[in-house]
Parts: sequence; structure tokens; C-alpha cells
Amino acid sequence: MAQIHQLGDGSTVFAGQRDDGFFADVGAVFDLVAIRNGTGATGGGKDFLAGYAVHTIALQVPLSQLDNGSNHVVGIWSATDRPKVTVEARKRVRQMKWAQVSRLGNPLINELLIPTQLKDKWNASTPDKDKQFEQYYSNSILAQLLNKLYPQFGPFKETDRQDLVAVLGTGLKSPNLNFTGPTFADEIRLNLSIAPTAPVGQGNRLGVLGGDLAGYPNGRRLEDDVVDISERVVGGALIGHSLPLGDGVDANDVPYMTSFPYEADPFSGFDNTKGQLFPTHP
Amino acid sequence: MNRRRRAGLAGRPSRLGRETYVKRSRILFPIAVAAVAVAALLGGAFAASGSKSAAPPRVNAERLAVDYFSPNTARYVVELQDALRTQTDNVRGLGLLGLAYQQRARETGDPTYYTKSKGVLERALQIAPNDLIATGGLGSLALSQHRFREALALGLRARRLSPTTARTYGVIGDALVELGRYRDAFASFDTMTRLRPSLAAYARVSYARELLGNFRGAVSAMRLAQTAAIGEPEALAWTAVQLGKLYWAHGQVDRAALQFRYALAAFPGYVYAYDAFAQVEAARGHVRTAIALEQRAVDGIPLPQFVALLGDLEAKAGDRPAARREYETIGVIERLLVANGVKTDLETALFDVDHGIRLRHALAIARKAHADRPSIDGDDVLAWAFVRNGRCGDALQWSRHSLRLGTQDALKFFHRGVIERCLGNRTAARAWFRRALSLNPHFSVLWAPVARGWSA
Repeated sequence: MAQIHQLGDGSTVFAGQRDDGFFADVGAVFDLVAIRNGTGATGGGKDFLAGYAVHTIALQVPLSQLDNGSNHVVGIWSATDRPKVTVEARKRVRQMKWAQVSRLGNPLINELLIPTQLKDKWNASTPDKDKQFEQYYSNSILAQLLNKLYPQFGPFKETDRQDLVAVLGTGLKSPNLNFTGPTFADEIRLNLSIAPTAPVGQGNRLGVLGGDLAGYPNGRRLEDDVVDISERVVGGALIGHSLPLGDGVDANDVPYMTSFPYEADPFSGFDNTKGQLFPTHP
Repeated sequence: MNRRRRAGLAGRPSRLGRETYVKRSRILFPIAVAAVAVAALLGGAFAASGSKSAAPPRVNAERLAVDYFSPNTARYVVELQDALRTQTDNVRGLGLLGLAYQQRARETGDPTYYTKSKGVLERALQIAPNDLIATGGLGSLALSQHRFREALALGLRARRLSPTTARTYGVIGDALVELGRYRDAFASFDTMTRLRPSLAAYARVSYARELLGNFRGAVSAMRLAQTAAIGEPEALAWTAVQLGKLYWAHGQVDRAALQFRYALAAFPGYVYAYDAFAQVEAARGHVRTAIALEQRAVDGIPLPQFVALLGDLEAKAGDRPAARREYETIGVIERLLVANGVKTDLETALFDVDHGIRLRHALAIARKAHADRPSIDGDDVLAWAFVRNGRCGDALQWSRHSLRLGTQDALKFFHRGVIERCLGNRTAARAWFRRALSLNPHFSVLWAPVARGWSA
């Protein structure tokens, strides 16, 4: 592919349009956290993202550049910045300054955990200062919501959720997975010493909850069903309250590719699934 | 008419009204994230009142919260209303419905939605006095109703509730602009931009720079707003129209037309683009085409500024009865606006002075408007009302005040020319007329031809 570039140090980068590799019953998630049938684990969901494409920046980096041989766990987060401007230019601007407007480590933190009045602040801040947001992990509004909506599956623990603090903020010590020390920070933690357990796209979709230590929340693979995993973890999967919660969508609508950048080709305009078919006429 | 005041009549905002409550995250899966955010927003609220039977809205409420035009807002309103029938104390639901009503007002031009919005937002605050969405929502409502002192007070309250939420500084800054407190307003826009540069923040910086006479800076900030709108058709169309109007105000007709065309391509049927394009066609001498385009804008949303331009174009084409009909319609629309809490004094005064209607009375309205809204636009309309009543000295004082920021505005230059003429300063008058025309030869359907006649 023309958009793939070798950077000369063993790294490879891609930028361009791909099939949206994420899958979720967004419509149902919208309908009060997505539980259609029973606890939601028996399929029947509707993949809202099927047939859509996304702009993708993919980076493939040699392990040797990340692993120093003693500490195998890396923390990863991304951010989006926009140019900073002021009404009156204070002095001649030599170089554009940027302001962070969004960040992402673990999925859905901004959407599900951070309260409205702190969203701008959270998005402008960096994970090393996340201690200030820890209370919103330990006292989960999502667990409160589950108790209101699904008392028949409860009770869900609402306060002092040290399990959520650990899995999202410090990494897991038991199982000994990806603990990075006591500093609370929202990052995707990946233990590089745990080898992939399956070819790309074929790991256990429930990752660590499904006994596959090479999946989310140890890193995040394309096939990891983060909506189901998140619902179950908030439901208490790590503290002895296991419930097969889910959105009924278990995999992407098209297979991932077996080589970089792994996300499938975007749908062609000719074959798009979103339009309405017009009847033929002579 | 000045484009800003023109944009002001029914809800100001087309220019400054884009606001964000719900965070937009686009890094990995933009659509999913947005919708999940909404689930959290609505779900949390509905759950709080302990029912799961509510029919939850299916439209992307984020689009709503950021003031976008959405073809589904009507349905969204119905769904929120259904949900609230069983969950009367759902604060978030009430807040979102309040914003949805404001969006409906923008989409339809029907100001009764303002009254509805006020009702549900006040109910939300009765239940939860410190709710940020309801407080900010009442602030943006007050802006739409041109109640700028109330808007400022509400903005300051929202700031106490959350000093790090960027959009609040937009409400505060917009109110301060209209109250003539420019230094504070611009500081508020800078804070907004520092907290979170966004389409809304860039657009405000662009406006502030334009007020300061910094055309290039205004264009570059609006270009940033345009980049921030990529992927969202109505937002993109909105920024294109704003950018086009900037070019238009500086006489760059072709560049302006390109942006208006771009807006219509991005978001077909966009009434603000039809309105803008009508002015281009009029400038090119195609009055019939201009009338047809403006009629489309009026058919889409009967905003008083659209109806006024339609009347002016019809008058220009020699169709006085049609023009009279449009002008009468404006009176009806304004009564409807007033009945729903909108203050229209400044717009009414300008229209009446422009059209020579009850000039002494118009001056009284202009004074009242200026007391409520001592901005440079308030200064300018007061000056214009004075000179049309033959009070040239008073007019001069307010004209000077209206130009104190260095704003490059052909209509204000023209008004100054008329004032100098009234004072017997023929040379100065001609210089102002030439200045207006060289900035924008088509600055007003009504007055550009007059300026041309008097500049010779």
C-alpha cells in the first residue's frame, strides 16, 4: 500500500482510511447500557459501526525500542492537540503552539467515568496527574446505573472500587499482569513479555477475562470486545461478581487483515451499505 | 444592513452560538464514542429516577448539545418528552430538552421554543440548583433572547460551578461583547481557547479580531474553525458562510461566493448560504436571481433579517407592493419574538431608521436599545438614528464611539459619511463614503448606491 512507510529504524507507519475495526451496539448502548436479551451475552446485537470507515494512523515499532530488558510493561496513551490562538498576538509567533483537547488510554474513561464539569479539564491534562480523578473510578456512576437498571443482576458494588482503580489506573498485580507501580494514571498497559497467543484477529475476545493474558486489559487488540469486558469489569468480574454482561456484538463485521496495518480495507463507495436502494425502472 | 446585526434578530447565534457540553473524542472510534457519551449522559439521568421504561432518544444528543442543526431534532424532542413524562425529575433529561428546544428555535425560527426551553431549564434548576447544563443552557437562552446582563450573570454562575469548562467562557464573552466590555470579553475568549480550542473558540477569536480591524487574523482563525468542523456537514457549512461573509465584508466577492458554494455543497439546502448567495447575485446585478435565492432562505426559516433583505431586493426590482408585504411580515415576526422574551429594540430601531419609519419614535427605541446593549453596534444605530433626525452633533459623538475599536465596517463608515455631510463637512463626508465603498462596494442593498452617488 502506498500509504505504508518504513521509517528506517525498523518502524513502519500507515496513515489513511480503513474499515472501522471497532464493533459495538451503539444504538443499544445508547438505550441505557446495551443489554438486549438477558444479560446480553447471547448475541443479537446490532453493530452500529459496520460498514463505516475511519481515518487511521498505525505505527508498528520493534519490541527492542520499547523493552529495556528489565521492566517489560509499557503504558501508552494518545492525545489530540489543536493550535492555540489568542485574540491579540502578544508577540511575533515563531512557532505554532498547541493545546491538548482530547486524550485516550483505556476506552470510555471520558465518556463513562469523568463527570460533565471536569471533562474539559480531564481532556487537557496528562495521565501523570490523574490522581485527582481517582475518586471517579473508585465511586463508579456506571455501577450505580447498573443497580438502578438491573437490580435483578445486582447488587453491583458502587463505592471503594479498588478493582477499577487497579485495572484502569495502575495495572494488575494479581494476576501478575501489567502493574506499573502505585502512580495512578490512565494508560493502556502492555506487558511485552507476554507473547501473542493467537494470530491477529483470533485472540479470545474477552481477553484476560477469557483467560487470554495477551488481550485487554493487557494492551488492546483489534478483536478485544472492550464493551463487554468493560461492562463485566464494572459489574464486578474482578471481585467475584461474574456476570455475562454484553452488547450482543462480539466481533467486527469484516475480518481484519493478517498483515500491517491489520485493519481491513474500507468499503468502496460502490458497495456502501448505508444508502437506500432505489428501485429499477425501464 | 450590517451583517452582524442582521444575524442578530432571531437568535443570534448563528455566529457565536456553537457550544459544547459533551466532550468530543475522535481518536479511535468517533461515532461510538460520541454515542456512548450520550448513553452515559442520558442513562445516568434516567437511571437516577429509577425507571427503565423510558424511551431513550436515538438522535445523537451530542450534536444537539453543540448546537448543530440536526434533521432529527424534532424526533429527539418527542423522545425526550416521552421519557420525561415518566421521569419528571430527571435533571439531565430536562437540561437536554431545554437545549433541544433552543436548537428547534434555530432550525425553525419559531421563538415559542425559547419559552418552552426556559420552562424546562428552570424546572431542572429547581430540582438541582447547581446543575451545569441547565445553568449554561439558561445562559445561552438569555443570549438568544438578547438579554445580555442576564446571560452574563448566568455565565458567571456557571463559571463558579465549573471554572474549567470552556464553553462557559463563550457565554460570558458573548454577553460582554454586547455590553460593550470588549477587554473583558476578549480575555474570556482567550480563556476559552486556552482551556479547549474548538470550533466555538476559534470562531469567537475570529470575531474579536474582526472587531479589532484585524482582517487577516480573523480569516486565519475562521480557517482554524473550519478545520475543526471537518466531518460535520452543518458545522462545516456554518464556518464556510462565516468565512465567506468575512471576505464579503472586505469586498472579496469571488472568494466569498466560493465559500457560499462550498457551504451548499457541504450541507445542501443551508438557508444561511442561500441568504449570503442572494447578496452576491444582487451585487452582480442579478436581482431576480437574488430574490429567488432569498425567497428560498425565507421559505426555509423566516428570520426577520432574511425577510428584510427580501423586501429590500423586491423594492430594488421595483415591486413595491411585495416589499411592503415583507416589511409588514417583519412586524409580525418581531411581535412574536417579543412575546417570547426576545429583546428586538436594536433591530427594530435599525430597520425603522433604514426605512424612514416614524423616525422620532425610532430614535427613542434606539436609545432604549443602547441602554440595554451599549456595544459598538448599539453606538452605531444610535448615531444613525440621531443623524436621520437631524441631530448631527449627537450623531458624531456616537459614531466616533462606534469606531473606537478600529473595526473595518463599511456600513459604520457610511453612517459616518452621512453625519459629516449633515455637519456640512462635504470633503470629510466624501472621504468616508469612498472608504466604505473601497472596503466593500456592495455593503448594503439600500445604501451602497446612495454612497456611490454622494462620493462623487
